[in-house]
Amino acid sequence: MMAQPDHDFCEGLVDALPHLRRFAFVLTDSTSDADDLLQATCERALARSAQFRKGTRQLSWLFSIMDSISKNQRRADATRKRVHSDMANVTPLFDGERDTLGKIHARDVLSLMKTLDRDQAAALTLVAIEGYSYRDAAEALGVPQGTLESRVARGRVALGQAIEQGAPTGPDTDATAERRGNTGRRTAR
Amino acid sequence: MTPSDEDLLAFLDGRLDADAHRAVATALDADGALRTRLQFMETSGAALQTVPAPAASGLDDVERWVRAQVAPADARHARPVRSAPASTAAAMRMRRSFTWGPAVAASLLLVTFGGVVGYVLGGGGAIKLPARSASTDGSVTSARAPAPAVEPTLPTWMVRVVDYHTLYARDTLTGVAADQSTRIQLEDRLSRKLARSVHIPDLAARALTFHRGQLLRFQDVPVAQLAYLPDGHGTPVALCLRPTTLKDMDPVLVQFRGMNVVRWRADGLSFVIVGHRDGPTLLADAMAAHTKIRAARDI
Repeated sequence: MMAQPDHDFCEGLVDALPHLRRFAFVLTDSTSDADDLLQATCERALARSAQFRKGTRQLSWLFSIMDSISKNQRRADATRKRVHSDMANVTPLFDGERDTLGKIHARDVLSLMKTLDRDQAAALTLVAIEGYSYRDAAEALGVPQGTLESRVARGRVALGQAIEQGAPTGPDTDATAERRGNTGRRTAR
Repeated sequence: MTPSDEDLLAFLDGRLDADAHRAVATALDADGALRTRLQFMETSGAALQTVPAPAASGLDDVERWVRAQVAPADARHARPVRSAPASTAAAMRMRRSFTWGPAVAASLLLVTFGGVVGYVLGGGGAIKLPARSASTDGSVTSARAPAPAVEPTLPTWMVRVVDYHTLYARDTLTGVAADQSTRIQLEDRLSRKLARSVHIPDLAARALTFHRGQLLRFQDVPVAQLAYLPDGHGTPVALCLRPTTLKDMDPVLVQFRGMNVVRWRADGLSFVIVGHRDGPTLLADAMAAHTKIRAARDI
């Protein structure tokens, strides 16, 4: 029988909902899918509330759950499909207004993040929007810090390219980075 | 050596030591392509700073549902959860017929939940709703005052589907019939719109006759609505489906807007069946629909 989530846990979950919804929006193809992902995350969090360690950051724990659910739902070619399908949705948002950064709205930025590689979008959301340190974001997403930093770096390039050029060339994956000669290792510190 | 994107990020973050910083700066002076990548990073960094804190609006249903998971301590364990033999049998039959996911213990909880009766099948993505105070006749009781009516959360598109279905009366479909030719044309159209083979299940064995199919749309996602009438009497039953990227989910039966609702996910489709038929009957309807759809797909 599932343990009953306590009051503090549920209050923390309620407080996290806006953040979770935004994260879900970035990770999914549509608002409907984001709703489904948000709900699935809430259900799993409540079902596993006994596993949450009090005193730790509940939002990080919830991000981790959402990321895990989202990853499990991906099909083999999901990333490629979402990039192609989203492009038609992203471009009209600007209506010719993307010539200067000042005219790009926050929602446009979030929409453009959907065109990124999913893992890059997740990393960017936690670090650049939620304000997580690289270490905390890496822990929430269950990857080494170096991997997390690589995703942020490539996501930043891809997103900037999308903003300035309006038509991203596709996810800037590890493979494309390697073709450029970037191995994910810093050459100097 | 050409600095990597990670080097450029560290450069922007100010995380490089003096020597490394100088090396990147030198490389930037000499390499226009590198400067372009740095510019992309600066652009995205500035854009991301414009994203405000998330608004709390639009989450009322989810928030209400989450809050409802915490019952007053005195009411939470006031009475035992009631078992439901008849419902259990129907659910177990359905459970055996579904082959989704890893084998999990089939379980059925019948709980009264702030005025909402929910049958929840264990395993998969289904949550076992926490038990609230329950009376032997299934009505809601509380040690102090009646709990406010709380409805379970449903995906937004399902809420719209259920709301839409509240407008359906038997007269809505009376006189509307779909012959074989119409069915085939409709299946073709729905298959094109949903980008997958859509089969209209024949539920005659459940005493349900298909009358009408409609293509709806919610937030740019197509939704197929298949409307059935119970033979003899009774109000319409609607089976709705739409594509989803979510993994398969076992069936969950809840009451919503005064109707029974069974939802599940299978094979890239999200399903909901809604009507005024009693819970076990609607569960069996869902099982039949799923079996027919899967059989048609496997042909």
